[in-house]
Order: sequence, then C-alpha cells, then structure tokens
Amino acid sequence: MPRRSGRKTNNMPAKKKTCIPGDKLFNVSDGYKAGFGTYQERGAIIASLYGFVCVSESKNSADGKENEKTVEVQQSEEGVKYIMPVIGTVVTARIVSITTKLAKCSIFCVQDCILPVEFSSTLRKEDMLESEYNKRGLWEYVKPGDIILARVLGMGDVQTSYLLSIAENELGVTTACGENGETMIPKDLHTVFSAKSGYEESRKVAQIPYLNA
Amino acid sequence: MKRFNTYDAYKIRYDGRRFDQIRNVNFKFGLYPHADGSVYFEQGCTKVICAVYGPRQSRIRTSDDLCHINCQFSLSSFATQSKKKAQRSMEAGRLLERTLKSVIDRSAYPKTRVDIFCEIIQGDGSHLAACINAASLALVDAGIPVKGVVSAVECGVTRGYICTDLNGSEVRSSAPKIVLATLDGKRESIMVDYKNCLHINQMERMIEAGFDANEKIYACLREAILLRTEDLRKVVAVKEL
Repeated sequence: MPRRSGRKTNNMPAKKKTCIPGDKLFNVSDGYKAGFGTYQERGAIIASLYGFVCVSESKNSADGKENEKTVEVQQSEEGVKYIMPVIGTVVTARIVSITTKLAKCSIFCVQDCILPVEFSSTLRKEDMLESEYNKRGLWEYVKPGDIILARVLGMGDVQTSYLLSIAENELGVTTACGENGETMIPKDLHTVFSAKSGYEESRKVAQIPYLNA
Repeated sequence: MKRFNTYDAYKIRYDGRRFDQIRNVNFKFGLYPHADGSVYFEQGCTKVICAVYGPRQSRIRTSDDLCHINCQFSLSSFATQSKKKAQRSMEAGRLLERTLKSVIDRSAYPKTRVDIFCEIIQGDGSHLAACINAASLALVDAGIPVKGVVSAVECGVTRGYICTDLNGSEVRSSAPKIVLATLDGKRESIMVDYKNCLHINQMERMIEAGFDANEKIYACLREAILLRTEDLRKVVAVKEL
C-alpha cells in the first residue's frame, strides 16, 4: 500500500517503538523486568502482544540497587487498555437482580475502558457500607437497573464471578432507575430523586465531586 | 492424454512451484467487527476464516488459574469438490487446540475462556496448517498474549519427491505427509502430526523441509502483523493531527 508522507513538525514527540509477539525487547541482565504484554524466557524479555513498547522506571530508595525498569506493551499509546476486570480497579456495573443478601451485577466498564463483553459479578450486602450495614435493607442501597461505581475485590467463592464493593464514599449509585422506569439523579448521600416527577427513593449514592456539583 | 512429468524433467510441480516453495499468502484483518479478532487468510487456493472471541467469562469451574481455550475446526459444505455435509473435525480441532494452548500465555487472563473458530471456505490441501496460521494471526489481532507467532506447514511425498505446502492434487490418501508447526520460525517444533507410512530417513528430511518452509511462512505472517501494527500507528497519527 502506498504510504503518504504526513506533516512533520519539529516538536513532535519521539514515536514509540512497535513490536509484534515473539520480538526480543531487552535482556534481564540489563535490569529490566517483564510487565504486562511481555514474558521472560532464557534471560530475555519477549513481547507477547503487538503494540507499543513502554518502559517505566521505579526508583527503589530503600535499597541501594539501581532503578528497576519495567517493560510493558500497550496497544494504545494513551495508556492501559483493559479488556477484563482487574482486582483493585474501579469498575462501572449495572445491577441485574437483587436478593436479600446480595445483588447480581454486570460489569461493562473498567475505569474508562468499555469492555467488549460484560462480566457478571456479585455485590454483597456487607460490602455496601463500612459500618451500620445491618440497619438498612438491601433495596435501600441498590435496585435493578441502577448504574453503580464499584471496586473489584476479587473472585467469589464459586470462582466464576467477581466480588464488588461500594463501601467507599466515591463509590455507589451514579444513575438510578425508579420503580416506574424514570431516571433518578442523586440528591444527597442516601437519596435520589426524579427530575420529572420529583419523588424520592433511597440509594447509596456515589460522592463524585464533579458529578454532584 | 497423459500429463507431462515436470517432476522428473524440470524439478517443478504441476502448479509451477519448486519442491520447497510455498504458495502465495493473502490476508485481511478485521473481518467481523463483533469478534475480538478475526482474519481472512489465503494460502494458495485454501481459504480460511478465523474468529477469536475472548477473554470471556468462563462458567467452567476449574481449580487452576489459567485461561481455557476452545477451538473449533469446520470444513464448509462448499469448500471441497465432493458435495458432502459441513464437517466438523474433532481430530483437527484437538490438534489446533493443543497447538494454540502451548502458545497462548494462559496465565495472563485467569479463569476466563477464549473461543477460536476456524472455517475453511475453500479447501485446496494443507487445511490444518492454514487454520493454524490463520488462528495465529487472529490471536494477535484479538490482543491475546502469545509467546510468538505460530506458523505451520504441511509436507508430503509426491512422486518420490519431498514437497512443502501441498495443494489439493498433491494430497493423496495413502501418501506420507506431516503437519509441522513452529514458533517464530525457529527450528523447534511445537506440533507434529503425521499420517501413513514413513521411512525413518525420509522423516528427517521431511522435518527439515518443514522447518525451511516454516521460516518462509513465518516471514509472511510477520509482515502481516507489521502491517497491522502500522494500521495501529495510523490511528495514533490521526489523533496527533
């Protein structure tokens, strides 16, 4: 295919090195460590994805060693691109159904990356608030159809779905779905209301400063 | 009329290739937008469509923290000359699964599953090798971590000569043949499948011929992935403008 020469500016940042799976990137003896998208074999760090090579240095001030350099292969130049939930990250999920002790959720977004396919997860009642979770029913925290921000705790007991937690102030319901199908917006810590009809329901609202301003 | 024997006279095959020459390789990425990785792959007149879905959530309860690989090999009803039903070969699917399982970095996505579907839409010999090559490209397109680029080739004996990348007229039911898969074109096999009777001296020479042909096929696959990476850079270049 013909390659058209684009505009070349002098202050353009240096283009990142691209690689394909199987390429030897660095040697382990040079102080490099294998990160995401790479693996280590026979003293060499080999790429396992195609994309851009990113080298990040982490300074160990405690030890007298030299800086550890971690090699990662990213498929987008902006940064990390998730395709499945990672433990410890903030995800966006939709409540599918609730029982008295847990709520079934469907994760469709990890941080700011939309997942190509949804992952099912479980939100337990004791993971909804840090204390006083016995005082309220589960239907006062979330209801089916709500969009929540949650943090992934890990895999559950049956090892087939993820465990979520909304026990932090920044986590909780961002958009609620009322009983008659209306979209509810947050009002205060525990209340959402409908802008159309004005009636209120109880929710565990996510305290997002920009959203609630 | 009997065909002129170009094997003995000129050391070339009936389609004009030398004994160690592979067929033309064509490809096209991004065939299905809803699949995570898909490729249309041609190796001569053998045409393969491969789609990769995953990592998906796995419902199978396993004790290990590894990714589960599912492979499906199917031959379309219109792919070959005989008007049979669409065949889903369990044997070729198992070989494909075992080949890709040794290449995919399964610890990167624990407790998930990856589904790989290969469909031959036109068969002209070397079906399993073409499917392995297509699946290798589709896995890279899907962004699944792999240890390298797998390339596979099918070698056999035709009229007493060892030929690589057999086409449909060279594949016979009783001739010895092997399917050899290597990683990154190195002379280390990750899968060998052989059929019919082989002499031990012929086996070594067939494996050597397979290694040589796999280096050529790996060069084609590498060029395909490099072009795919250039497409990735074009997306970035558009954002920079």
